[in-house]
Amino acid sequence: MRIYISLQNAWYGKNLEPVILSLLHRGHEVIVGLCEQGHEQDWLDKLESSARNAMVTSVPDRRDRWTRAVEQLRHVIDYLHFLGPAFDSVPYSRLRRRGEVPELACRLIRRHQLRYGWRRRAAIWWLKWVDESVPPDAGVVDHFREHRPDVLVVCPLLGPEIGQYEHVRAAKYLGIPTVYAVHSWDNLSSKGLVRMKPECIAVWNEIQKREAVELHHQPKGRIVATGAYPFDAWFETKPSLNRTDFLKILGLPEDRPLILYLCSALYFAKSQPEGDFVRDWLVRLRACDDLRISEAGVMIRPHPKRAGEFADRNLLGNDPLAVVWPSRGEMPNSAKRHGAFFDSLYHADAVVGLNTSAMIEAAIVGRPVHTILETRYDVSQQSTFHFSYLSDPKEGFLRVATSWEMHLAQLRETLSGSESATQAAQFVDAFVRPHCRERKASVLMSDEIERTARRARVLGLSGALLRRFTLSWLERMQSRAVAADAEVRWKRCQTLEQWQERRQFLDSLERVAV
Amino acid sequence: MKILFVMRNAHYLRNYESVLNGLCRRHHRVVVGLEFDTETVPAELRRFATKLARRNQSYMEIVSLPERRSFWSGTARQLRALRDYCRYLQPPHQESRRCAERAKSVLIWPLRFMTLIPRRLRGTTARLVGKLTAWAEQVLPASRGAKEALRLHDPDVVLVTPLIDIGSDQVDYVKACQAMRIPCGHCVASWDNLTNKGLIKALPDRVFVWNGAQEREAVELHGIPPERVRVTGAQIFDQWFDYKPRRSREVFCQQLGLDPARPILLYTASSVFICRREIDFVLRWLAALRASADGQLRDANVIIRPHPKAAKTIDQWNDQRLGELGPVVVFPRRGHMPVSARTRDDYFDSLFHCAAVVGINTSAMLEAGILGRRCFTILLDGVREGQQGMVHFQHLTRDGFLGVANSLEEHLRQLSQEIEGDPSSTADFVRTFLRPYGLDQAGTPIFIAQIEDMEELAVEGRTVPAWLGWMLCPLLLPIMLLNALFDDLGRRGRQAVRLARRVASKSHKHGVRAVRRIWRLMRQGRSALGYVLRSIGLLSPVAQAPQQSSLQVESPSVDPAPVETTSVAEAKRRQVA
Repeated sequence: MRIYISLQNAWYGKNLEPVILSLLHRGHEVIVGLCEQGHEQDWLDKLESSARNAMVTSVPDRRDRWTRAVEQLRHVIDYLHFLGPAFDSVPYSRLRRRGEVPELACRLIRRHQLRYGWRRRAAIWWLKWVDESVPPDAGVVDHFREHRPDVLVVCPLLGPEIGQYEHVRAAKYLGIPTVYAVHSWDNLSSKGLVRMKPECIAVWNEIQKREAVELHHQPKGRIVATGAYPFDAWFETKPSLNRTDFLKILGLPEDRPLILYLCSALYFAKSQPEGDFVRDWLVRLRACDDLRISEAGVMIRPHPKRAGEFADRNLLGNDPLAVVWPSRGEMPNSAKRHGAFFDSLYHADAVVGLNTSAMIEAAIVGRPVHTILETRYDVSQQSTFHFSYLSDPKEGFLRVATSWEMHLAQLRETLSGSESATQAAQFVDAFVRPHCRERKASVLMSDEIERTARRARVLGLSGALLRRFTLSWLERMQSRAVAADAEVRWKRCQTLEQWQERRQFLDSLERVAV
Repeated sequence: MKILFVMRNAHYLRNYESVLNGLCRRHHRVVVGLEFDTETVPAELRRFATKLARRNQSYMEIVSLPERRSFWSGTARQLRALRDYCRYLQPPHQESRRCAERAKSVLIWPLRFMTLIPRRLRGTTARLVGKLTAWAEQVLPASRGAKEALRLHDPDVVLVTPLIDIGSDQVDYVKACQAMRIPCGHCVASWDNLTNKGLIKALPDRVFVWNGAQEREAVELHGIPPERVRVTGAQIFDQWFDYKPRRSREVFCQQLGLDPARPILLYTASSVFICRREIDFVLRWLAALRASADGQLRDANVIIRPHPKAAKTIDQWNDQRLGELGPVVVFPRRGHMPVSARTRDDYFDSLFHCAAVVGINTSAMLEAGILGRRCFTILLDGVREGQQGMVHFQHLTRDGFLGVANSLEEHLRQLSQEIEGDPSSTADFVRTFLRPYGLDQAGTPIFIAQIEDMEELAVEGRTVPAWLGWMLCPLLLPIMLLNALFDDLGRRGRQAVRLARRVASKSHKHGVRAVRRIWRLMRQGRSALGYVLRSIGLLSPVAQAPQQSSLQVESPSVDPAPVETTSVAEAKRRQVA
């Protein structure tokens, strides 16, 4: 079987690596098509050279007269999607899309009150119809014709780029079934709307399944919860070093507890550096009256995307019991790096962070994970859907503190060893491996890809009907959009930085009690 | 972001000058829509509006909003006024008789039935009628004119001020925003707006208030959900916190013809609504001041600052008796608004160089508080209604900011203490009432941030669907007919009567003249009828009446001789003409 895996870039493919390996192991031919080159592509190059039945290629971009229209359509659809009542509590996503929506669309949405209720749904439906009526790009179609895959797997599909939708469009045109592999735990709730109805949507768990049905209106029958295949390796890994050796490498005393701080990617990373927060946290830790906390070894693991923040050695105030490791941050994309990350989690007595997927990895390893709700990071914590999955008091595993005192008390409890790991285990069973803890998610995913490839019927694009009419409408709208953009003399919406700055300002206001 | 700021007239530009400038500086497009044209406001405000628009040229424009007259507009106005009237018949407003009278004056007389209800049942009935009118407001459709204005300007956010006038039509904008799902904010224009005017009749998405007290008023008196109220501080006064005096005390006193060595008392006059003829009160106060045992008070300079909006009663300050009561100056003579550099300087310097401020109940006291000047008032019979009869007066008395005296003697004692002793601090009051986020935190940036925050607001829309409204509207037809009969027809009838009277008076004048002329001609025998009558002896010829006498009466003079000559000459000339 020939399986085509469409990736935005190699970085996204890292999550699919266990699935690719499983497919190769089953003897399938795997073609990895990249929309963008670079972005940590070494592992793919290695894979290509080591596996006989693997191939890496690049997919041509869409370059025709509909490119701009399709791009703008996608922005408008996503914006309308985020205007839904479900996203009222998540203003960030809405505002982020608002900046990309053309002026004409903003006007029409306001004038015809398309923000709400049935009008919004009707507008989305119509725009999806128009989007589906756009013919596929000849270059992309030729590319797929050339490779003749039996199934197309797309990941991450949702995101700022339009390339992968063109792959789905071309696949539907050629009658190739499509599998949408959800890239991460926050994708379905924060990245946009899934359109064009792939033949199979492989989600991680029941929560994502619910999201796919309720937020994306995808048919239930095509959604499959396979488990979180990116974490498969975490269930099998064993520590590469014992605690003494590991702490020796870090330069921390072995007779003290180790607290691991996991940095997050966070929204508004530039305006909200996490370094300041970590320093504050460390100061409060050291000022704690409990010696187990104030004299604990602290290891800070920078996020690979924001490693530069911790380059300054004085950031932590020359605390001898605190280290930043790895000092430049690193992706766990090799066995050695993965082992080092695993050791960090394994030997830690407690894990602290704001909102990062590494928390899930800590839960798999069985470590208690703590967080503190900070107003300045509200947009990355409480104003997101996915944070609530971890912090939910019933189903989540995070120990959430609303104040520093509460946080220190929770840490004290954890370090005294009175906390059980049952809740974390339950979360892993439900969120990471919903079928069975012993069954690998990558295997289930591979099964699903094979099943979809064998499925004869591929759903066509409904927009083919009335194509002439919809395309002429789109063309007219495009010319009007250009005119509207040209005539607007002021900025319709604020930048995200302005928005964040304003939120911080308003949040910081405290009424003076006289 | 595009913001449509609906204002009743250009007076409100002054209240939101800093906000408008701030929004334009942040690259928002602001359209200020005035319901009443700038032509109806004083020239200084027109100049101010022009200057403001010119300063923010690329981002701001001032437009006139189209007049909204629809099938239901008269009915809606009456229902709203009735609701406002009912408000003043219930606690805690039942003492505000003047406000009740004001609301009543807007109603057609069949709707003034509340006065016929026995006093003990009036509160309950008012509550019931208030609820019925609130329900009727829900049912009434949003005005088409307001919707068209919104479509024309296509804003992202709509702000409305003042909204709470008795029977205000601005409610239509709030309802149109609800219908079109545009975020709408109500900017409370002043400190008294929520207590001595009408109710907020349609629920805006945001209500911007100055302080915690207004927040409570909005929630408790107007039924606004607390999550919709935003406390911003008094942005209108931000300019005074950093203002510096332009003249020294000596120069200021010299310009006004006052002695700089003596203390200055500033009397700030109130609006016409609070006291129509304030001169009587001022004369009484001045007489007591000049008769005071305290030498400093007796000889103190007094500056009287007329209320800037009281143009109709401005002539009262020309009273000659003021000049007989020591060093008293009316400044500025015509009561300017502080909207230009000069008028602002005058106002600020008056406040800055004075030792204390006296008045009945006016916003100038708040500005005095910012400069650390204590304010004083006296509860006298003639003016008590404008003080204790107004709920907002209680705001001034908090934290001991306003020195209230029950008699002139007590008042003079308070003034003496203030001038001689240590002046008390007004900081607590200013912090609570004008800058609730701290003295250093200006209200304008908060206001702007809150407006910007409205951009992505999810608007709830109307609670009663439009179709249901249209179905229930016929229930309001009786009121519409009554209104048509008593208001529209009444108004037109009054117009017709006036016109008929004018025509009649003119015809009468011309008719009488004509008859007189004919009679005169007849007697002179210059008409055929006269000739016949005279010839048969029915009419005797009469000598022509001397015209000089009448002219002499018309223009009496000390020196009659030349006047007589002139008058005769004049009369002859007229006759020839």
